[in-house]
Amino acid sequence: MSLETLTDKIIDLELEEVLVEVKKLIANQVEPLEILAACRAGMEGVGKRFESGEYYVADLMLAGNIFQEVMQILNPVLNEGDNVQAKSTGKVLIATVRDDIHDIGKNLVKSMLAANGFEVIDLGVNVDPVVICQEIKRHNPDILALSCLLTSTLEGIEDTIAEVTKQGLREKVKIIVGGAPVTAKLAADFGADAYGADAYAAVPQCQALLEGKSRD
Amino acid sequence: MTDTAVLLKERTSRIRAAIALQEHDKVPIVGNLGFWPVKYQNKYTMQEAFYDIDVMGESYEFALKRWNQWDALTTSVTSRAPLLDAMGSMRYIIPGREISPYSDYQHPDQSFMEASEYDELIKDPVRFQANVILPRVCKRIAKNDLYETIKAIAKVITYSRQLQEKSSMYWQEWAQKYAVSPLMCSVFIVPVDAIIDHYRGFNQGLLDVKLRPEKLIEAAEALMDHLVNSAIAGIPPGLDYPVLYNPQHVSPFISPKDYEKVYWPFYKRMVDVFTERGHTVWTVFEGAQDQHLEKLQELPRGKCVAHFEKTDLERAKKFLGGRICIAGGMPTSILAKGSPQDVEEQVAKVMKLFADEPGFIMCADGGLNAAKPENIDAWFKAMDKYGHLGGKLQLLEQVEIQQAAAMDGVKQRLITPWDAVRDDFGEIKGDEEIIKRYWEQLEIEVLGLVNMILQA
Repeated sequence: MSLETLTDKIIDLELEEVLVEVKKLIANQVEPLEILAACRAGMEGVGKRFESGEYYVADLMLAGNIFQEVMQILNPVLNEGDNVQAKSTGKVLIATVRDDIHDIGKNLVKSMLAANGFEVIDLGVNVDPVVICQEIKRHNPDILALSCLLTSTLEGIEDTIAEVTKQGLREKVKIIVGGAPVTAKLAADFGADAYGADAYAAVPQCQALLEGKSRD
Repeated sequence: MTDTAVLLKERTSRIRAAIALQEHDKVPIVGNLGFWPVKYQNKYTMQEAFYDIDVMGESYEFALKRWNQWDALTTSVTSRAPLLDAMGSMRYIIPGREISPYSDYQHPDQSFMEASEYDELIKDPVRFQANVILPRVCKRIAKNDLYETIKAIAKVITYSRQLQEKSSMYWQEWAQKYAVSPLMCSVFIVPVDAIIDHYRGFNQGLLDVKLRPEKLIEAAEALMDHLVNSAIAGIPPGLDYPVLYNPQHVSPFISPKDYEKVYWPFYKRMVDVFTERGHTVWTVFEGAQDQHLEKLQELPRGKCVAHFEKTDLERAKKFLGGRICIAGGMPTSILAKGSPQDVEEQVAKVMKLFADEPGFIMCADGGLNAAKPENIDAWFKAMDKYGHLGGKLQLLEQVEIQQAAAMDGVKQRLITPWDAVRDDFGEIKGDEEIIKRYWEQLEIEVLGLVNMILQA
């Protein structure tokens, strides 16, 4: 048994076997951070299969589920003793915009970002632009991720970006948008910094936004 | 025939020619208006439209007065909120109830069934839906309070009859005034969509596709007959050209491998049953479904419409052109956020792709929802400019439906067959056939209503 095997089992979406592997690795006193890194490598592999068209949303959901279950086992050992907490890649504030209660896409993006090392703060659904601005001030995120499912709630994205700008917060936060009716052109028209075309695309896009941010 | 009646016949014939992949004069344009007329009229809230069918009627009239060029509408004109309230259904988010009166209604992801309950569902899917799921979804359908339940069902029967009468009245009026008709006569749902949408919820259901596909397949098999019979029960008699509407929610999210296992075999069997009876199937392939295009080539030629939302139309044409009529081509995001010039460019692009293809119907990729009026104008204008095919339109006669065709493999699942209750009557003094006839006739007639209640 090895960290490579764990990574492979995650890529192959073998839920039960992954959990057995993680428990064995912990019992063999393998560094929890190394186990976490192997799991993240697995999630990266899942993302690659999604991008190549081998995996679809159902597969991503299962991968997200596997990762969550792994974290439930791993978190207690990550938090104990001398273990340094896993450092987050960046902080993302995520929400479904005003008047839209759909959260499947948002939750999937959230779990993919979390699996790739982002700290994700989820504001839920039907979130008013003013509330989003309050939360930006409170959490100071690197990225704001906005989602909607309905064409009629596209305005919620537009209005949120306008409110963020109005309150003088636009320079502090990068904005990525996504959801069924959103297109790359609309994202650009709304003044977003990036567009997440599908459930996984948000990950490389957010990574690129962070790189851009560190260069700014 | 009046001028409007001739125009109506032309329009239906045009759509039928497109579906049958036969020569005709111009690309039909079909409108999925949904609740958009209410927004366009800007007189009532969405809540008012959801509670009052006359508000819907007035808004549709208002919109049809300005645009009556649709060859058909895929919309149903209905205001279902009082019906859902009567049952205490918490399945949907209703404008003015859980969300702003100006919002659209929405379907949140909720799970009403545990994975451990699959065996119970498989054993008797309809009773499971009625006895287990319905009381979980509907607060007024209480297991231990028959009085509340009776009141709720009585309200549903009363109100749905009113809705049906008013809806038919409006459609008759609009057919006479504007030569528009509703294209869809009934709805069918593929079993996996029914299980995931109505019982398990999207998150849990998609995990079932991966973690317990055998159970999902068994449950789908158990539900097949009921879903086929429910769709057929919903078809009003005497229609010229009955089209069955089939929205697909789950298929965009699964791989071709999973699709072939849990989804396709059931969809294909249903399509075969309906098309062999003489119906046409209009499937809305939600999201992007490029991964399934190759499989769709096996659908019966010239009898189905594949309405795509985000699937690449160029690829769709490559796989399905000359076999299956393709519908779509106008993204709702362009209608809502684009300019008239964007609309014209989109029409020109799509019409260039389908210039040599009679099997194409122009429509929005989803409900019109937030479309700008000037963009609807631009849409019709552009279709006038680019949508002519140069062929001749033939007026078509009423389709004959083969009532018994292709039903061999489908059990005529009565809710309770006569044989199951025969003993309750003891010795029958007169003609048993009379009692049986009326018993079974009513059993069949209520199937549509029962199904509507089950899906509340």
